[in-house]
Parts: sequence; structure tokens; C-alpha cells
Amino acid sequence: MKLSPTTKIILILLIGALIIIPQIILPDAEFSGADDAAGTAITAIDENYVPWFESLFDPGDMEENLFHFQQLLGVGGLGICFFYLYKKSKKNEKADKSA
Amino acid sequence: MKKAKRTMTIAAIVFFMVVLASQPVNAMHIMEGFLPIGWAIFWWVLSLPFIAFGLYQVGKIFKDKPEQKVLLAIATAFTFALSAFKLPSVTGSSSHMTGIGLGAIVLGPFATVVVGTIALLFQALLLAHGGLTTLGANAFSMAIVGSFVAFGIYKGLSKINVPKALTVFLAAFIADLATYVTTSVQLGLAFPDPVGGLIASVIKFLSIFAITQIPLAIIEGILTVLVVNAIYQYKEKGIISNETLTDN
Repeated sequence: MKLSPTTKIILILLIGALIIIPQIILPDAEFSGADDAAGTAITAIDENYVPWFESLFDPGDMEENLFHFQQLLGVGGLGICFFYLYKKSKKNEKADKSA
Repeated sequence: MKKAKRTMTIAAIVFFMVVLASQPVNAMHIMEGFLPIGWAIFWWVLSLPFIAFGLYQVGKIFKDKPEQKVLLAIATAFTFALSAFKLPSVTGSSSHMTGIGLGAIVLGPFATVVVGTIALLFQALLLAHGGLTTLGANAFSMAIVGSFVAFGIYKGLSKINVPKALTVFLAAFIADLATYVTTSVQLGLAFPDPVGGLIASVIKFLSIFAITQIPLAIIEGILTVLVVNAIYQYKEKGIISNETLTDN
């Protein structure tokens, strides 16, 4: 498997289009999320249902920041891993050359 | 090396774009307390053996294949990053990706169960997203169904002559959708419609989750192709050893 640079660029543009197009079509889309919609549907099917356990920790207004923190951990982690691989491959090349 | 640098730059651009375009979410997992206690226990019991065997597999990677630890880290980081990104979708409600397909392809399904469960636990404890009582059910749909579907499709299509990039795309894409279908079935089982029964309920939940999920699943598929491609180049150079990632 080896993607040509052109293929990669096309794929990245495709991701961009998939991200941007819905935002153009639905600029005012509700961001409450499918999770909340599922909660509403549960109450519609069984109106007597009461959630029997609450989250131990309620982040409240911090929730958004914590999600960004998770994104940062993920993206940062990927960056570190690929940087490590890049350094390692460079070191191997140097060793091959001097050998 | 130029090529490696280019791959890294491209990867960085993609993730930067996704970060910019996305906003934090509240979607996808079954909320804390929203499964009746019997079902919560049922899914926990079903998930535990997979998690236990997965932990054993992860232990084996640490002990016998330390050079694969970096793949474990990449899979975990990928799941963390993707499951925190959400996008508005056509139906107006928002959801997010799972990132499970990558792990299943480079590590196999059992180790990926652990990767997915860690991400879910993090979100349940810190973000009040999903929950501890529903962790068994959410782990089953995302970490277990997701990784086994991805692994099955990857292995199956690798045997016949499908281009590798398409194989990887389909594995991640279908695994993402399978997770949402499973969530809908889990909710339908716990909350059958009083009139239409199980099927009516499942369809109701499916329409909330799965349809909003299709554009996201496509994005997840493409991102997985890009990352697997980058990993594969390092495998070719002998930097990473990996048995599941094969050429065709």
C-alpha cells in the first residue's frame, strides 16, 4: 500500500468538503447531539423511566474545555508517535550510510 | 527523509483542520443511568471476558513485542482524538467518530478492545459522557463490535483482490456504522416500543444515531487510510514490525 501524494491531497480535500458542506447547508444546526435525542426518545417510549445513576463527576461548564483537552491528548500523542518513528527512520538511514 | 516529512506534514494538516472545524460533542454513547440495571449488568457481563483477554494480549505486546508499543500508543491517541471530534450532520443532530478501525487493523481485535475501553472510561469519568453503569454496553458496541467488525472486514477483503486502501477504508467505515447500529439495538432491547415492540424502537434509535453517522464514518474511513498508509511506510523501512499489516 502506497498512496501517491496526489491521492493524499484528494483525500484531504474530501475530508475538508465533508466537514464544510454540512456547515454551509445547516449553519444553525443544533449541537445538542444525538445522545440527548436518544434520551428524549427513551422518555417518549417509557415516560416513567428515571435514570437510576448519576455521573460521579459533573464537569458542567468545563465540559467543552475537557473535550478540547481530550482532542489535545489524542492529536499530541499522534504527533509524538510519528515524530518518534520519523527520528528512528532517520537514525537508521544514517547508520546504513556510514556502514 | 523527504517522504517521511511530507507524510507527517500532511497528517498534521488533516488533524489541524479537523480540530478547527469541530466543536465538542455530547453524542454517541448511552448516557449514565439510562440503561435499566438488568441490562447494564447484562452488557457488563458480556464485555468483561473480552476486556480481560484484551488486557492479556496487551500484556503480551509489552512483554514479547516491545517494538509494537508505539502502535498501541498510536491506536490509543487516534481513538482519543477521533472520539472527541464531532461534526454537525445532515439531519441536524451531531455525533462523533470512534477511531477503532485503526487499532483493529494494526493490533488485532482484542488489544483494541482495551484501547476503546480506556477512551470510554476517560470520557465517562472526566466528561460525564457515557457512564460507568453503561460502560459495559458502550464498550460492547464500540470497543468489541467495532474492532471485530473492522478486523473481520480487513482480513476478509485482504484475502480477495481488493486494493489495500479501499479495504482499510471499508473496515473503518463499516465498523463505525456497526457501533451505532449496536447502540440502537441495545437501546431498543432495553426500551421496546409499547406499540411496535423491539423493531419499532430499534428503528427509532437507528434514525437518531446511524443516519447522522454516515458522513462521519466516511471521514473516519479516510483518516484511517491516511494513518495506516503512514504506518505502512515505516513498516516497509523496517522501523515497525507488524504481522497484520500486509501488502497486496
